[in-house]
Amino acid sequence: MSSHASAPEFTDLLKAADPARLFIIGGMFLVIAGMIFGDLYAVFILHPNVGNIGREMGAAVAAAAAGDPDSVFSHFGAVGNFLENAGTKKDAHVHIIHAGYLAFLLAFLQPWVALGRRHKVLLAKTFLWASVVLPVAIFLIHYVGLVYSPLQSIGWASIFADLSGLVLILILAVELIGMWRHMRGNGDRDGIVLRFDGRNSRALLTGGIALVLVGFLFGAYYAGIHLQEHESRELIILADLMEQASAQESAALDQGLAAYGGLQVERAVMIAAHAHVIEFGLLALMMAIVQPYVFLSRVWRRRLVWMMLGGAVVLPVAVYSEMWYGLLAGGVADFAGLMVILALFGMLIGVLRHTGKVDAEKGETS
Amino acid sequence: MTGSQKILLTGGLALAILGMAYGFWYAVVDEHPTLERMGVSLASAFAEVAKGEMSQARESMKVYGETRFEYIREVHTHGHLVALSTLLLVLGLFFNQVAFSERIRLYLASLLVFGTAALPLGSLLEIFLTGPVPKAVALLGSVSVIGGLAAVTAGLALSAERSRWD
Repeated sequence: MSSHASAPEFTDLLKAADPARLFIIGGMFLVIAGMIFGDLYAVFILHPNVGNIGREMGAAVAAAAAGDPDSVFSHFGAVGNFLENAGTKKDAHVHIIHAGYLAFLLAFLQPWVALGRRHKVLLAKTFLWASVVLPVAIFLIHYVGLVYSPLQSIGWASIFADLSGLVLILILAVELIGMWRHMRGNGDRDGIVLRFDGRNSRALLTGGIALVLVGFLFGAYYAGIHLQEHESRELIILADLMEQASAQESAALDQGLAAYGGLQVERAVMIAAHAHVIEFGLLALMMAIVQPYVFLSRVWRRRLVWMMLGGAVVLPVAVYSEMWYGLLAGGVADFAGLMVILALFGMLIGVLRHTGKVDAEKGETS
Repeated sequence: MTGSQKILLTGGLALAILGMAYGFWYAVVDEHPTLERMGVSLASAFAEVAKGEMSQARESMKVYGETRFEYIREVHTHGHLVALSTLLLVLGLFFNQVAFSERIRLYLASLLVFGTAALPLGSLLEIFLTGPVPKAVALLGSVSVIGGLAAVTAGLALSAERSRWD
């Protein structure tokens, strides 16, 4: 097993103001922020919103049965409002985490990017700023709306989200050009040799790949068996609701609305379980690479690894179980999410300690 | 950097850019009108029920179904392309640890890049084409990614077996 000290390549990678250091630390901060936001979203927005949407949907269908088209539009407007509220927060959660993943991976690509050091630092800083602006702007879409917007259907928050997304795309394109230049013989030829911290890295690699594989297989099962069945079932339920509203069959309407709500929950938990198991698998794979540079005691590194893997396994299972156990399973999922967050935060502290150690050895600390 | 790593890292970065560019185009050009059409058609369907115009209501519901079908696949395309590209980048970083010959690793890397491109492409094609072709493309992509990843897992297990980790 390699020890913490046996990583000269990475030590070089983390020298002060190096773009790799910015990318790694910034990326881990982004992922942690995205996960904390996701946990808050699940507790305070997602679950209450399901009830609100169901209530408004029921009121809209009842208004259709009562022959009140204005009220139908009003209640569906409220449904749209609740969906936008939840959707923009989910998008903010997903985008901040993926920006963090990309930042983290770009750190390890830096030795293979043949660009000037100052340019690479500038690219890293700009990438991280855009990664912060993008989710914040997505979050604000629901609140800013079309206020003072120069466009008919896109508000200022959307404009900023789109622009920050464009900045991220351009930076990735420049990084790709830098890699192309490196392959053509420009820049430093040394590159990096990744080291693995024995059992910790191996546990994360094995766990990460297993999680990603399970997520893929579950996704294939969902796409093959449920995706189209859910789509057609939704249309059948809605068509039935229309007929029942027209015939003013209130008992059948209640049943139809319950079936519609059940379908939405079924679809949401399947997609969420599929997405989360893959996301956590990717995170575990990335953390396997960073393990030798988590400057903590052996015992704490091991605890953090198992805490991360435990949370990564429990969360998707708990999300999937929400179909049967409702909020109880939701609570377990939130707790598992917290386990992953704490583990990642602990590893970030270890990386920060490592950079401090590198700086101290170079005499750069004040 | 080995040849297989080059394929995974440049392929992963290029496909991530493509996925983000598609997401950017979609957000700017198509997302708002699609969501608007979806909401209006669903609300109109029930408003027309309220007015007793059932045939018009069924027509609005058909528009809702078609728009939702399109929306789901557009979001899938963006999400899957970016997520799978991220996996290519992660694998590329330690692909030299996979205990196969470089020739096999080159095949595996190409298979993974192909699958990453084909799966979302199949999803996108479902909007424009009917029949088995889009599903076949998506299935081929899915099988390539899952098969490639299973092979990588086996290669890493072999690598661990041979104690090549440090």
